[in-house]
Amino acid sequence: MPQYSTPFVPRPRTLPPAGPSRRGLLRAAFGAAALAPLAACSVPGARVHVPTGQAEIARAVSGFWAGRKRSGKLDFVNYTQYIDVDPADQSRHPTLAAFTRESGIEVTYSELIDDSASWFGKIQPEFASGQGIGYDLMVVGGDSYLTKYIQLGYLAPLDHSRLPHFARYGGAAFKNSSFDPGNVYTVPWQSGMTGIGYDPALVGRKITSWQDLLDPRLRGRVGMWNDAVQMGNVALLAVGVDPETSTPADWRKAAAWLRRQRDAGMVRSYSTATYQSSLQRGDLAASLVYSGDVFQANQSGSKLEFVIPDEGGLLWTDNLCIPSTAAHPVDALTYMDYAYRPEVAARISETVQFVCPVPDAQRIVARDAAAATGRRRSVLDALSTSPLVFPTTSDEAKLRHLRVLDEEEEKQWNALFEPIYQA
Amino acid sequence: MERTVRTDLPGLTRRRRRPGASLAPYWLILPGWLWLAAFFITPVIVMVSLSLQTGDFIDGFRQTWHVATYADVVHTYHVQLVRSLLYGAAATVCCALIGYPVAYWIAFRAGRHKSVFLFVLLLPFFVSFVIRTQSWNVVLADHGVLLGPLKDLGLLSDGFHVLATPYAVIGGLTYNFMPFMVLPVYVALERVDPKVIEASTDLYASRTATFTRVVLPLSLPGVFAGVLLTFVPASADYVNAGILGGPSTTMIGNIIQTEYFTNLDYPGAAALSFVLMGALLLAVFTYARTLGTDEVLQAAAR
Amino acid sequence: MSSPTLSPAAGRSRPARRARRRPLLSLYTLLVLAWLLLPIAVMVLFGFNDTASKVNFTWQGFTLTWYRHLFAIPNLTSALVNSLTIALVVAVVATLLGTPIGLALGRYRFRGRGSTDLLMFAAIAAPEIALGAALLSLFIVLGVPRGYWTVVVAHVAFCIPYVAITVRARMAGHDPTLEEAARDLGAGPWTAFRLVTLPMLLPGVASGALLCFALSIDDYVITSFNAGRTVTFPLWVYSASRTGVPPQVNVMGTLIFVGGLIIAGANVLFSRRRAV
Repeated sequence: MPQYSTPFVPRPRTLPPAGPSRRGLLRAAFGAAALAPLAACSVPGARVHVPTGQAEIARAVSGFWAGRKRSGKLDFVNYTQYIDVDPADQSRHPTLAAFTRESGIEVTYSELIDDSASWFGKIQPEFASGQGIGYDLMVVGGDSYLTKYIQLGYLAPLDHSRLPHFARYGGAAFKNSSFDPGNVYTVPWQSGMTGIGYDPALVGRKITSWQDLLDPRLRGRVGMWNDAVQMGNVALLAVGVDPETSTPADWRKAAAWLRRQRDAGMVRSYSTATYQSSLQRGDLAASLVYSGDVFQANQSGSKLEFVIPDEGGLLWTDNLCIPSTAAHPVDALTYMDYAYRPEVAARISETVQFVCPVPDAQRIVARDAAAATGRRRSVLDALSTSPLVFPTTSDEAKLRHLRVLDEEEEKQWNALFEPIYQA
Repeated sequence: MERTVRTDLPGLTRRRRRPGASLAPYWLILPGWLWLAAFFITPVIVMVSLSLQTGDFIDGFRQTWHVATYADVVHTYHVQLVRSLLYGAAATVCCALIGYPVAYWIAFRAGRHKSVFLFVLLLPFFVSFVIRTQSWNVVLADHGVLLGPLKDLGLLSDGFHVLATPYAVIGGLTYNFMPFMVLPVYVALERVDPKVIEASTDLYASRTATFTRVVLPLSLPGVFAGVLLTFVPASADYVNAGILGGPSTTMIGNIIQTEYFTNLDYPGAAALSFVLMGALLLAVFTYARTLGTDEVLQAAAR
Repeated sequence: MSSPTLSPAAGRSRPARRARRRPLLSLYTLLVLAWLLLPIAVMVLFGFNDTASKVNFTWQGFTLTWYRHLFAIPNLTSALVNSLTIALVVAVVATLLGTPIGLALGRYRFRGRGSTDLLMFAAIAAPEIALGAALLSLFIVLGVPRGYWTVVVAHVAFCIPYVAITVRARMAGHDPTLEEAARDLGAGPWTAFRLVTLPMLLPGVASGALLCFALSIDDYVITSFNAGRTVTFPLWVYSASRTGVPPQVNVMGTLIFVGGLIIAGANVLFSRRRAV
């Protein structure tokens, strides 16, 4: 705070007398000339030809991998808190350390991905400018962004001859997804279910159906998401349609269901950012959740329940893939295969507690549980028998996959579902 | 040199400038201007250009002078646009009402400890904006430290909640932008000459009259500056709505973010940003024009 | 926002009030100040919370664990380092670019002064999100990958006007004849600037630089638009909020807060010494 007072400074008169002067016109012309190239700038597209058919894919694979050698380095980028950690030191990841010891490949691991949309927005310009993105391996959600990566030619086709463990241990339910048939570009990292999470004490009864989210007794205490992909697919299940084969007409029905829920004042907030803490605090009685959320919340003292509603729940998959610009693709491929060893998958599941794409890992978790003591034992026991991590066959029967959308469909989809949570 | 001559003719010192001197201000402003031309003026022009393009993300966007985008986005999102301005205005009014007495107290009643209180006022700025906002989520939780006891005492119904309502969003905005209001008002009040107030009391004006007819008018420039500094950022904010909001509190900032990052609809996003900026700048310039840019700016500078 | 430099002399510029105390107003002010400080108290407190889970919002007991394991989350640490270095670079560059503008506006009448004023005003008055979106548009069109340096560029752009205005306010109270006097006493223009103008200007420059540092380290909106995959402290905190903000964030927030206190305190002391 200056302690002096400011003398009044009159606004200087810089403008020439009224009327356009010659200089003024010149200046304007200059200005316009300087701006013209700016206005003409466009944003180039980057669609590439995507190989189809066995032979073409095989050519693409051999074309990409010919002459590539292992380099001893690997840059791996993941979602946050999505790999095993050493309970004593959260910055250490035992399976990565073991991988380095065994293969001699140094791993630089980072957790920078929040969600598919923002991650795509962040790295796309680097792909477009043709330079590497600095990563050899990344985790990408199985949604329309994965389709974009593929259409833009940003992913390396995988050489399955070097992925024997995937072939042998990968669960059938996780292979050959609709967004990447034949696992040409991706293999699953972790899966998860989207269903309803609720606090039985607050709800006062069992929740079994999506229609329970319209129950007037839960008015204003239901959490939904600001995520068009999940919301749309969930609502399709709620109106009894399998999302994968749904049509735009079904989408409109689904959007109407969500709108009804909204107009009835059921929803407290549409937020992927706050539902977890709100549910644990009791601000929400029931919410759309991922299976892993509930398992983790209960490990820290909550008493929540997860349910796959009768109409069905969503099984989604986050996938490992190799950017086509990767500097160390062979090392990335080596790790991909490593992650499919049941004992490695088991270790990772023991921390992240999402759905494990390697069914055989269940056996190993059970064995670890038997060997552990105290609190850790109870956690592992719960894990090895948890249908949230190793879904039972009856659960699996209720699970559906996300609808794959092309550009045009995605526009329609977003136009239908975004206004619901962005009102 | 010839000092005697000049002391005899003091007027000369003003006019006698060396030839280079007239260029001095231009050299001084040049680097800053270049920076702002490159990273403020140009981006705005590019944004406008982008808003007139059509295409999609995979196949690219091309300049087609598609003005209709503006009509589309305004039509689609007018609710959120208006809501943002309303929330911004509400937060500004709250800031003024809550903040004015505080500024008044600090300026006239804090005595020797003025600077201490001003400092306390600024303390929140040393804590990250995002953390501050999230702290309210903890404080205002339905059964948290604030509402929990009140509900246990039966003073509030069990279903009562503040979070996830427009009140939480406006409250968050008010909280976050409060110092922007208090400081300029304080500066204006601080400049009020005590002799003027004395004169007023000497002329038997009541305390209320002294305030409404002397102090308040003299402090208005500060309030105007405060309104400006609060209204613009509050209307354009999306963090408060994102963290504290409910089902119908989406602000235009949230939409712009979704358009850019989720929908990759760059023209639409650019058009919305430009509409928002245009609306706010227009309001602000009209406002500043009537009050004088210098006055507002200088109040803003403290 | 104002600069954290509070001239202590402000309190003394006026004779002591003889008005009656009004306890109601004092109480009210204290309540408002408490309200402003409440979230900070929560933040500091929960940095000492002995929580076992990722979700840190119920009080479990006192611990210093999080101070000991402050750097246990590598990405958080690097986010903090990014924030600090960006703020430092921004403070230096914006001060270098903004000070001359403030000087020119405060001292000279020149053609273009009006438009410079207007530019400063527009840059401050433009909503942050529009500024962020405009820069993002530029980078998209030019195909520039966003990252550390785009954040620096963006921050400098929005900081320049704040420095200019702070310096200009300082200049406005300055008697131009002082410098003329120095010139008349035989000082060259540079010497006159160094010996007269610069010392007078320094507090303004210092608070401008501090203001930049504070604006930059706290910025979320513009940063989130232009950071690419560079993560700063506020960005990390925001994205962590969905799974639960670890106590280390509270500790780092507390440390930044304390650091700010110390710097601002030192600044006040420094200017008090000068003022006397």
